Amino acid sequence: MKGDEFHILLDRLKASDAETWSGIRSHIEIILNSWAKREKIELDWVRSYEGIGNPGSVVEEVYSRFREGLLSGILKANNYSEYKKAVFQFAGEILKDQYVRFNEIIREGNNKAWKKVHDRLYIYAAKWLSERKIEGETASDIYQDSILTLYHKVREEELHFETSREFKSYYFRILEFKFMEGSRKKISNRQKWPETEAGRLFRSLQEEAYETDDRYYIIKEIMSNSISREEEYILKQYYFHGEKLTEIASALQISDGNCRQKKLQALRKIAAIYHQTELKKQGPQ
Amino acid sequence: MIHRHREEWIEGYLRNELSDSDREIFEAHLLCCAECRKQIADGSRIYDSVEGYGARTIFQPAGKIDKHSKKLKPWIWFMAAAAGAALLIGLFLLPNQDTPFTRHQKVAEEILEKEEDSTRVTEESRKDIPPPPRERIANLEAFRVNPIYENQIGIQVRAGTLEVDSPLDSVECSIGSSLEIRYQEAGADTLFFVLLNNLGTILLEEKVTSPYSLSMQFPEGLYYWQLTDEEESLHTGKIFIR
Repeated sequence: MKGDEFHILLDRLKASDAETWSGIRSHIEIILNSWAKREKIELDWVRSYEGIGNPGSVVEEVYSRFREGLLSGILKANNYSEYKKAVFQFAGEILKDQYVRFNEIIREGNNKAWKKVHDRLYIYAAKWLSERKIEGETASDIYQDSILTLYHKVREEELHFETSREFKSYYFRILEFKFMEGSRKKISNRQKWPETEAGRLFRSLQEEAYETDDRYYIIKEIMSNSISREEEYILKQYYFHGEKLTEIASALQISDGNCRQKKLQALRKIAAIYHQTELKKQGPQ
Repeated sequence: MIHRHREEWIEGYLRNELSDSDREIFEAHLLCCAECRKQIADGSRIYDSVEGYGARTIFQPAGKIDKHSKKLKPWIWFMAAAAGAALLIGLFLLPNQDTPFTRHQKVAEEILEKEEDSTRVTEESRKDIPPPPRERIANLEAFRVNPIYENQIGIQVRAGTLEVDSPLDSVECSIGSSLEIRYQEAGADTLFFVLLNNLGTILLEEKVTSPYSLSMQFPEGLYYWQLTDEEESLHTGKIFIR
């Protein structure tokens, strides 16, 4: 970004232009989410004095600090790099402070905090196991064993982690161990959570997730009824398994262009249905 | 920033595939482009949804109906049906029997079945595995690194509780030589020593008490070892047998 462009933006911000500030808010959200993904950090594994965070709470706090600092003249952000530096510095400070508090309630067995952990680890474990060609009941059993072990270890041994990344790294060691154990000793096909405190907790978290996650049901219906199996396959391989389009095209024996077109077509259908969902949620204008 | 490539930039950004310098350029562009920001937000939502959907299909027992399935609002059915109808029209243009997709699926399923059979190592079958023939020993495949285990070398799971004196994290030995396992563990005295080949197949699993000596009667190749307790792997290292 050229210096002149940033100065025009800065002038608008200092004049409290609402639209420009709203743009800054969404820019902070995008760059922080992308950074967190790259650094394998969970932005919502935090706990402030107001309570457990949601995906937007760190973003909101970074935005507020930036806005306050800039408008009061305390913060100097004369160019784009200084702006980014300030954003990441704020994010680092907030995460460092609030993750430690999140870790405390994890150790205490707070259900809401464990729900956050479960919701993310569930997806990571699915990807990890699927890469090793483990699916269905076996995958489910390995996940159950791993999350229950994690729960017991963290609570009983009072393990302390500085960052969400360290915590996940520890979990992956357990998952890998359970995976290895599964391949050498056949683990029992349980499919049911055990009747223990932890078992009941994770069963209820899973059921709650199934019951309340509208987004899942919408995407499930779209996948089952609105797009072809081929399009579903492309989306899953591309977004879930992280394959490249050329690899998917070659597996399907279609051209790269054709594959890209099919992916776009599927995305447009999903976007259209999501758009309708939002309009319905907003109600009549 | 050229907008005719917008979709590629956005996809690359969401999938973390842009180079550092391209990411810098794109993020700076996002600051003044509301349309790109909106598309990133939409793309990110779809990305998350497909991720969540993918995860549930992985854990879903094969062939089972989702017992948690709940009734959707009629208008969602309507939207889904409308899109489905559009799709049906398209389907008439496709051959209705063996499409490349179904062919691919069949081949993939066959490969998966074979792989499952070949990688499932039971106690009995482990005893029956003959040593690989000499000509295969020379194959470089036996020395190919396994990124899963490579990443774990040198990482202490619970710092301070286990100190491994021997073997070193990376050690070279000859066929038939003995390997000394020596460690200090603050918690339990007994650990398991697990030896894996570079494909991750377990070749040996022994309950060990420090010090312990093991004869390395394995063909040439790269091997990984782990010291584990009953629930997790505590230390990982590698051995080159030449």
